[in-house]
Amino acid sequence: MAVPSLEQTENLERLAQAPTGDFEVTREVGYYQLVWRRLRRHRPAMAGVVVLMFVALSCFIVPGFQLGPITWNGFLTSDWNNPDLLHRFAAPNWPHIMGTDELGRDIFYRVLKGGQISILVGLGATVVTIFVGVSFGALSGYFGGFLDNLLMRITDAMLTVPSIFILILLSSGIKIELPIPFTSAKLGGLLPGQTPPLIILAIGIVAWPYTARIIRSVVLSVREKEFVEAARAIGSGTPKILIRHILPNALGPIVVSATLTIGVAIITESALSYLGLGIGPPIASWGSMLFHAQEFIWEAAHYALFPGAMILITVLCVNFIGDGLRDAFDPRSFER
Amino acid sequence: MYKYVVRRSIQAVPVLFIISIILFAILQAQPVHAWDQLLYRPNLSAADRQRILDYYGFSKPIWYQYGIQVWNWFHGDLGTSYFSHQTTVSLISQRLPNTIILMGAAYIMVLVISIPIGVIAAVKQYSKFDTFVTTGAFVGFSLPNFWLGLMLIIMLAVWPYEHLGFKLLPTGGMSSELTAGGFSLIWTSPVDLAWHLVLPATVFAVQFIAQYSRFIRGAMLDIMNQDFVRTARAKGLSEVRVVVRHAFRNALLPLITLMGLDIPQLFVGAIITEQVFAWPGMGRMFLEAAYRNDSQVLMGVLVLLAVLVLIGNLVADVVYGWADPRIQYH
Repeated sequence: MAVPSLEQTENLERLAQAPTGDFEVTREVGYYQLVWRRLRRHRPAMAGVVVLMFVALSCFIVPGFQLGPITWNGFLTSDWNNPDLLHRFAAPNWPHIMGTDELGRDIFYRVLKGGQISILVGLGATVVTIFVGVSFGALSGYFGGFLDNLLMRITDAMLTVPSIFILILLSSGIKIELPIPFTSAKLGGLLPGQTPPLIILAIGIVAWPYTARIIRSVVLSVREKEFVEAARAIGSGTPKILIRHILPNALGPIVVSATLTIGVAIITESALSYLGLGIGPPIASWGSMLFHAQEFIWEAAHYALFPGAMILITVLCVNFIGDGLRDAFDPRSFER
Repeated sequence: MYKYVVRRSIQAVPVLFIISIILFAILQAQPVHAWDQLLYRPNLSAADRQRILDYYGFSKPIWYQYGIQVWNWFHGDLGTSYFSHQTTVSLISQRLPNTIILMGAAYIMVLVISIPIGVIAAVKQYSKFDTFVTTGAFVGFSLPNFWLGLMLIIMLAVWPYEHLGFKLLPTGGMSSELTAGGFSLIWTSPVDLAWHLVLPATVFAVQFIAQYSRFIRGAMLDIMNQDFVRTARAKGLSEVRVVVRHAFRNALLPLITLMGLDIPQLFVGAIITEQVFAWPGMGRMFLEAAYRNDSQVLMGVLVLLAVLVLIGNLVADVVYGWADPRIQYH
């Protein structure tokens, strides 16, 4: 192809800048750039990003300051996680801005530490879910036939029993003793079953079928596109077609369902911990704090307020972001 | 239609088989089993130990134990609890009515509240009310319902009790009597039952109201843009008649499917709500069995639930075909 001359380029630029007639010539915008622009216009999603960043940064940074050199005027001191039985169930006031719990520990500090666990479990479970779900969905949708039938029957089977029931079975077992390396020794006095890695695995094991179904339907439609046929015609192998050609085209649904899975995972973890089967003492998560808060609801009404509010805020932000991403990836859903 | 039902039922068999294998594997993989309690006794002789193992079939290979479970399902008793020695069916039949009362009350609440909300939000799309409903639905999705339960207990029972000396609403159980040392399995008067039902049913309903009102809104929006609605308007029918008689009746159709698919979610709601409000239903029974690893009961309840879910899906499809003559099943 001939290289355009200088005048031609200038002409093209002028054409691009000045609309002529009743149509407009604009600069070419890539797909992901377009998605990003649409996402930025989605106000709830952007608000969600900001608030979520604030919550996450507070959870991960603020507890680190407790041993810092700055004097905090009694606020956030180093013994806030230690039991202080003389000051149980203190109402919210300075310096305990969220009050103290049944052992006199500061609730503000535990909400932040618990937030670390809740957020990490949410993210970790999402990684597991997406990995398993995308593998199942992509293999099932791409190969079809017997494999599809087998994988989809397993998916159907997992969907017939609600995930929380299977989770209860899984976590009531791993709570007692499980000879899994790298969990028990490293975390010292912690009961092995209550370690976050096992909860992450358990949630990932039960949450993948929804993702698998979505990905399968997307792969089914992408599989028939011309560029896949072209890739096959020039001799690309199956793994390459799957990873380089099909999965990037399923990125929208993958990202959206991953985002929504974070919210589901955080709620699931807190529900499980609330039932006394998830994260257990001495570490806290928002759900396990509510488990203890219910026990002492007549002594300390403020105890239940803050962990639950944090769950609500976090999951709400995640869901807003997921909604924004869905609209951004699929503008047709915008009209709803 | 008949053939369709038969074919779907046959398709359900492998699904049930797979889920039962998965559940059985999870229960077998438990590090501590319910029967360990029977075996860890200091004076247990080897012969007695063997007798216990033989009695429950634990000395047999795993596939044989699975066979015993399957045999129990076809027998109709779904296995026997290792603790109370009652059959799972009799345990369920004690608790299921309570759960159904809770679910039924909550579900009626859901339909009564969410249908008008969804319809009005769709008719007045992009109005303030619509925005409010959409935002409210998001909050409803994201709300952990056990926390909502705790907050309602605090606001309606703890605070009034501290400041006024009485609770506005009861915080748990099914009846005012016999709640001292636990909670009763029976209820005495319907008024008292309804009084105890208010909080659990509300907490149960909130998430569903969020989901259903949004769903009905979407279905109504789909219908309102269709030709027959324009025709109805062009005939000069009043707007109320157009919405109620023409649009709403069609928007009800997808709701049938949603109701069928939501049966498992109802049980999820039950297990959480019953735990918050000490409601003596199946959810609590399941949790108690899980805490003690009572595997026969756990397995029985879950297989029954799976069957119920599959039947629910099938019934939803059949009713949908019956309600909407445009749909043909082959």
